[in-house]
Amino acid sequence: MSKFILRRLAQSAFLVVGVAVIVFCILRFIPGDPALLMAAPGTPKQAIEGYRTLFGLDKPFGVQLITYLSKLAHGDFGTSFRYQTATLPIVLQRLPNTLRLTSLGLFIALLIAIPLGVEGARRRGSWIDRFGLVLSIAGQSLPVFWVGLLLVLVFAVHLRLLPAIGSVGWKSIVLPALTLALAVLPPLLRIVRTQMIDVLSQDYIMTARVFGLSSPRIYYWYALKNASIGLVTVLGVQIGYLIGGSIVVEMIFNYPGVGMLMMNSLNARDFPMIQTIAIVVSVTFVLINLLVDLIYGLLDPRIHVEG
Amino acid sequence: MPPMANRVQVLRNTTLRIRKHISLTMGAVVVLAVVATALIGPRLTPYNPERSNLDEKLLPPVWQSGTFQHPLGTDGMGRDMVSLLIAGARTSLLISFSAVFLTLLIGCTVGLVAGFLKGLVGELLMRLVDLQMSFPYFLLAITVASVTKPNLLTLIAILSLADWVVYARLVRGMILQESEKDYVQAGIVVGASRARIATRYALPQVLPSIVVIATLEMATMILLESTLDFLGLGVQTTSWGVILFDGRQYLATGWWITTITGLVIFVTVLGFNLMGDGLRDILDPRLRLVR
Amino acid sequence: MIAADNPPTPDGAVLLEVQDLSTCFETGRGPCPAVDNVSFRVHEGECLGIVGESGCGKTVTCLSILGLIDYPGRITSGQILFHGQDLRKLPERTLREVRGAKISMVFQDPQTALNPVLSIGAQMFDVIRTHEHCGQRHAQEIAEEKLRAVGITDARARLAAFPFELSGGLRQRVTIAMALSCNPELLIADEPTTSLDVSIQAQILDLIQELRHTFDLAIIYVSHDLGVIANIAESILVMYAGRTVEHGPISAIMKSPAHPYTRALIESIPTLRSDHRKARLHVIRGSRPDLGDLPPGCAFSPRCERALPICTTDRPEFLVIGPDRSCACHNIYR
Repeated sequence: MSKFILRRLAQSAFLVVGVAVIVFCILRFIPGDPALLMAAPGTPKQAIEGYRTLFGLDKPFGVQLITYLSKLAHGDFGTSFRYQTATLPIVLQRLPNTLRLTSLGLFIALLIAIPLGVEGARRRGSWIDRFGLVLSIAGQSLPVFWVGLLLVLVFAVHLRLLPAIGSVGWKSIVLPALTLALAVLPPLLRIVRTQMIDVLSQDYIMTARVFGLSSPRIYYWYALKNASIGLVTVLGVQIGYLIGGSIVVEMIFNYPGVGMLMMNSLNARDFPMIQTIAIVVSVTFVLINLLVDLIYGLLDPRIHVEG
Repeated sequence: MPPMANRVQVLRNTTLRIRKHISLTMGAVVVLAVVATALIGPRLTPYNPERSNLDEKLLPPVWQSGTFQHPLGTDGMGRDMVSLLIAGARTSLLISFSAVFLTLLIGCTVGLVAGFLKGLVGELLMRLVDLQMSFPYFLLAITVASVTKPNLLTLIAILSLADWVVYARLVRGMILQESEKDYVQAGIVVGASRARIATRYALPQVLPSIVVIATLEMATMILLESTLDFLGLGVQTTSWGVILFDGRQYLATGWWITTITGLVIFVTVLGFNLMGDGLRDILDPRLRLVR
Repeated sequence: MIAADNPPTPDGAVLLEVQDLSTCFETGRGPCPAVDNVSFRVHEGECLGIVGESGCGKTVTCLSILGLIDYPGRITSGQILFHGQDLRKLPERTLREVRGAKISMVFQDPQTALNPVLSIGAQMFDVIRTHEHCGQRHAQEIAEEKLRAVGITDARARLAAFPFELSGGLRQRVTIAMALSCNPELLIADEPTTSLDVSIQAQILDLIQELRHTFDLAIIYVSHDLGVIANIAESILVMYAGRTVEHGPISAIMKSPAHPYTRALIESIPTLRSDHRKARLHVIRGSRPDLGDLPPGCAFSPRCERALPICTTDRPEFLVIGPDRSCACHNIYR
């Protein structure tokens, strides 16, 4: 088991480094001079040259890359052009916000998807099943940002129930989390339902019924434990979409998370910050996927054989 | 399971078939309507969507104390909503369609190559696939989009990197599967080249799945494209996402801009999704777990 | 080969009585009578064998007894009297208490009958604690005891194992142990040896015989293999196309079957004869009936060598033709 983890960590490390290099390259091959962009209009040429030297932008590309990588190896993530301080602490300070947002969104989505999927599979053709299918396909067709905007329109502008922007306590996380939840709900609902339908047709469910087990136990434990395997497999990919979606949601609701930081850094051409965010997100993503794999191993005893 | 299960299946299949066809037809109707509007629409509207008319800005739609002159109201620059939406349709559909097509090409090619050159090249390509999957594509997309401020072509290029993986895996899997089969072995014995085997025998097997995925991809692409536009990272010409980008500041004063445009996107994407679902149930139910 | 250890006990009380049971499935092509007016009795401690081809309604009958027929099937008529009480009239909650505790079932394929993600122990404890309402410790004792009863020596280790870690024969023993964990009075065995290796088949059959005596079980043994049934049952019920065609004590029927189908089944049992090189396997001509499209009259008539004109128009009734023997045929063998 631990050999498995080690191998995965090694793979992940490669991937993270790969991502860092790719982002680095992308940022260097662009038109526009970050030093020029950052300087206030009218700044004398020497000062701009000074910026360039300070941030090492005048050296050839290869040198920049190697310097960057070696600095990374020492834990130096660079200094933000915008904030003039180290990038990593800023990102890490925002990270919990985004994690909170995405976890809440995922939680809400699962809270709706699982019962709806189980009951829909159990009573195929019933109104629950049909409702679930409609919700699923409608949810997949809704643009995330539109939902967010509509929620703002209804709850903040018209009803004045919840704040539109800012981060004042729990109220500010509700709308963004709901938006995210709606975005990720359809694929989760689909897979729960599909997996449950498959599981419910298996013989061991009939066995459980023959032995007189109660319905809740059969559906929400016997069946669901098997169906969860398929669900967890898909979860890793969905988390990727969640992370992507959180950017949009944070932008709409002005939620102070990593996503918004990313957008602002992109607009300001803050290279070090962008790079750091990319690395942090990559590492987070990789760790989450590792966690998902571990859960998968817990659910399905059969895969231990392969290690 | 005994044949009793078969009879149950017969009933389920009939209801399923009806549902499939409803999906497919409804979806197809919507899609055709949108495409038709996009194609011939500009001839029907008297307004030039590019020209702004500040005297007429922020007029509400007709059911909300507006006039039939602007049935869906105007935006913050006085442009007629109907004309804007039609122009947006042309742009959005064009970009999305091109992106889907390009994705298809890239993905299928990679899949074909990886499937046939099973050695180092194949492995390398699949590592590339893994790399793509190890990072949320969206982040990469906005990074590239923001630093390049894309025009039509670059946007299409960026979008086409989103889901090519799906095609690659599908095609490669299909080739690996088929190459075990007898008729391929027979072909090799007879002396057919691998390319010929690929195009004549393997590819037709995978065609239905590709059609299904492509239809569903249209839905994804429209959403992706309009999201990038909404963030200000997409094209500058009028597209649905751009309308929403411009209209966001008028959320309180001109709610119809946001609401109606989003609704149009929703309905169009829904149409493609319904079509794709219906096609999938007819052509290849195995795909149910892919997407 | 024909051996019944205990002759039937005609004075044993009737445990289960099925009267005129009919179960129908709504298919796309119309209603499909999977079980059509089936009646039989099982006495305490008796083993009844139900014989017939695949698809003749044996399994549906068993599931109907336990009330486990789902949409689009439903029981359309009949009574299922267990200790005199009609199971069909019981509410679901009471029926659940019967299932597993009074009437239990073993399935054909042990591979798929066990939940792959739960340990054997977890599954057994569930069953035990559902019916016995006892604590974990007590449930564990019962589980170990039952595993030992089916011949599994290292019971404790097996409880912690998962189904995929066990061999086919071992898995089937476990399912039998699970079925017996709450000491039911009636065990329905639906082709429990069909998917096992031949050598294991014999072991499991012996095991079932043994358990029958140890626990004083009544058994309904379902199989398409007349040879197996002849080994274990005292009386048999022959089914065809969802209908009962013959019923009676095993020895009498094997010696002189009344129904042409029964006779054909007996003749189909391959035997080793001195002229085996020249002999051919007996085959019942024709093909399996389509339950959705049965001919009027006797369902077997298209394949029957003794078919009379009346067989194609009038459906034969299931009549008593001798002491403890019934048959549904217009032209029985005498």
